[in-house]
Amino acid sequence: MARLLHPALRLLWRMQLQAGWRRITRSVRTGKGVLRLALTVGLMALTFGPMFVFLLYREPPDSAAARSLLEPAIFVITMVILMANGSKSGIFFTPAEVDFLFPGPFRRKELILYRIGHQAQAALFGALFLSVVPAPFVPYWPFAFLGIALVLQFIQLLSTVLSLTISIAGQAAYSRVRRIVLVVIGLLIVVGVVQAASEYGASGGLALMREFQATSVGAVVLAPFQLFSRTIAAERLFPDFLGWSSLALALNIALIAATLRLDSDFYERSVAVSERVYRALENARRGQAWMGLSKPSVARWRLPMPARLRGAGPIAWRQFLDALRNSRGVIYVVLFIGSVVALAAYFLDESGPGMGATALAMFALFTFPQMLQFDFRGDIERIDLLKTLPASSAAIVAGELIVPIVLATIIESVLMIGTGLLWTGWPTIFVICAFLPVGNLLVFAVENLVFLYYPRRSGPMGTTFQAPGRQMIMNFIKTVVIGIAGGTAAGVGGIAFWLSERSVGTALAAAWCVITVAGVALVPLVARAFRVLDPSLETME
Amino acid sequence: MISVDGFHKTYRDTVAVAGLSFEVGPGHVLGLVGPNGAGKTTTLRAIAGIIPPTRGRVLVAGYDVAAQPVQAKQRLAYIPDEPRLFDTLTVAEHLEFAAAAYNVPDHVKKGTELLRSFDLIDKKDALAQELSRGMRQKVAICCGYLHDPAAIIFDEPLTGLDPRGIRTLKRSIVERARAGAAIVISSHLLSLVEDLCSHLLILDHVHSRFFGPIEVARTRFAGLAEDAKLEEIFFRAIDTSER
Repeated sequence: MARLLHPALRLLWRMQLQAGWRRITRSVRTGKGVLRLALTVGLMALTFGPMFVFLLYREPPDSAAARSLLEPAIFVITMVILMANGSKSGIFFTPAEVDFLFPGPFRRKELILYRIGHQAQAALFGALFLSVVPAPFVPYWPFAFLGIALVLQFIQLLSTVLSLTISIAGQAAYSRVRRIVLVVIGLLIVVGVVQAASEYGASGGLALMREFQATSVGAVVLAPFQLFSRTIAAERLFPDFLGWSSLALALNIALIAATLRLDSDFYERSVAVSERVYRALENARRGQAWMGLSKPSVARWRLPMPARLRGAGPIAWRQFLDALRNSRGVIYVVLFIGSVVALAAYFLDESGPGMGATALAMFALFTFPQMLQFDFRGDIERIDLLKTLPASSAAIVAGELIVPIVLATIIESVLMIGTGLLWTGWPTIFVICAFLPVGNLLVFAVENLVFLYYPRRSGPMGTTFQAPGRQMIMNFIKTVVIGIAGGTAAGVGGIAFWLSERSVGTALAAAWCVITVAGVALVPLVARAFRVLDPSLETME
Repeated sequence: MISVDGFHKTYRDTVAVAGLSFEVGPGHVLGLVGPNGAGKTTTLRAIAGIIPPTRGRVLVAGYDVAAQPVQAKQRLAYIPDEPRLFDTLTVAEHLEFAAAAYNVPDHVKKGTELLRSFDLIDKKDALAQELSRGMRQKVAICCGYLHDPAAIIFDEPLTGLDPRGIRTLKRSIVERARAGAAIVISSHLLSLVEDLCSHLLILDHVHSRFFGPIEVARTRFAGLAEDAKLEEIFFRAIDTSER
């Protein structure tokens, strides 16, 4: 029997696993590293701990209800990923793998198996985090974890099969077939929804979705995804979990067999795709996954040079230009978030508006600051240049901070005005919009302050495990600082409300001033952090 | 040792290399020169089996790279212009992997000698991400040399190397060619090509403008002195083709 995997590939895999562990142990050689690891472990415990306690003492969940949501969710995610990859999909290898493995004496099948193994490893790691989402709604977390791992592997394998098919069939033929398949699926969904609405008279988003699953069309479209939803929401080990998971595993194994059977020359396509995916991964690790959504619009946007402003003007000008030329990706994400909030308000009936408002707040606090890295975080490779500029550190900080603050304020205001009426009235919208600039000053000052003390510079291979941990720490610090500032503002606002004989306007103005003072007070601290930063001492992650 | 016959590569409507044919025999060092976009890296990547030819055949040590890729690659080393290493692996682990990939017995001794010759012995336990640009280049060269390949392909090999590294690399190329390896060096540094290469291939606008021994190149283009520098030959070839 031919060997499945070249011994060198097995060795490489083993060494990479060992290297992951070594990386962690090496990172704790410094005080900063110890602090970071302790915070990461502590925050992980804070994230997973309460969930496990909750799972131990909760009422038994409704497995059927969970399944009715899981099936369409898995279907939609699969379709979105496949469509997003589209005709540009291919098997991803890291740059080092391209350089070492492609010219090496390996069979193509061995390289595909090596990659599938890595994908399975990544699927297990991803499932660990993703399983937190459905865990409260399904009977057993381990089943959800393994089920999600199987889903992730399924999507990756399906993508691989498609990419190999493209290599064989050719780009043009594949694009035609893909278009036809998408149209057929789209038509089937429309027919199913119409059928559900007319036969069952379903009204409301959730009800319609359930009725759609009951239709013959819905049953056909969602059939393959039942294997996974039933695995995730299995009520017993046997026969439920073992039966459904075996079937799901068999489906994945069939896809692996199809992958190996196709055995097309994927190298050239993989080289191009790997470079593209690698750039996207690097952006994602920097929290800028949205950059992959569009190409920079080269020189289409122009801006006049503002006044020098002690050196802050040209820095802000450059960052503004960068932001404008990469703005299309941000707009897509904002449209997506706006749509999600609006759909939540429509589909989730009474709880929708509250969830929409919470989603917007979370977005403004945690997601958006990661997307708008037009400040020191995006300039880590240019710190040397910034340090040589004939400007004070305060001016440089002002130039770096102004762009994300202004952009975030504009976009969040648009989102507020666009979706706010779904859950509140105009007065609240105006008050929130008034707090946005000072709130953003606080948020971006904290982001940059922490960043300058713990700069992150991605190496050519980037990071895998440190990025999520780092993000958790950043979110924790941000929550603490904003909590303190918000609490103080609320306290001062309360006192002003009491002193001004119940004037809401005075209370809000006092709270606004407190947030502003807190934000402005952070600017000199950011300037100091920039002054003391020694880029040569900071190692790559 | 390396035989390229009618190699043609297109990307949709763009022709990257058109009908290229050349051979590099044992002990020969071929200098591949040409302006940016001439098709040098495409040619090297096709020889290395990374990209398939649209038309034509590429043989390494008698094996067709498309039909018998494993056998061909077993005898080949490709050192790209900017080697990208496995950042989390140490230098020694890179060599260990290369030894396993090419089935090299006694790789520890051989690897140690290579590391010593390239001044990397003190860095054998360093992670690749801790290395400078030049050191990464040296690691890639050491990995490439480990299995004593019959054919070696270098893409801009001197980039980032220190003077001692340059001298060691040049010496090693000469020694390996003397031992019977077929070597291809793609470089914009014409002095390097002039120093090391026995043969010359000038690519321009995806076509071959000259292939043959360097001495022959001096007689091929009118008006060149017997001792004409490679720079003069190169520009004469390019200018002639432009006319």
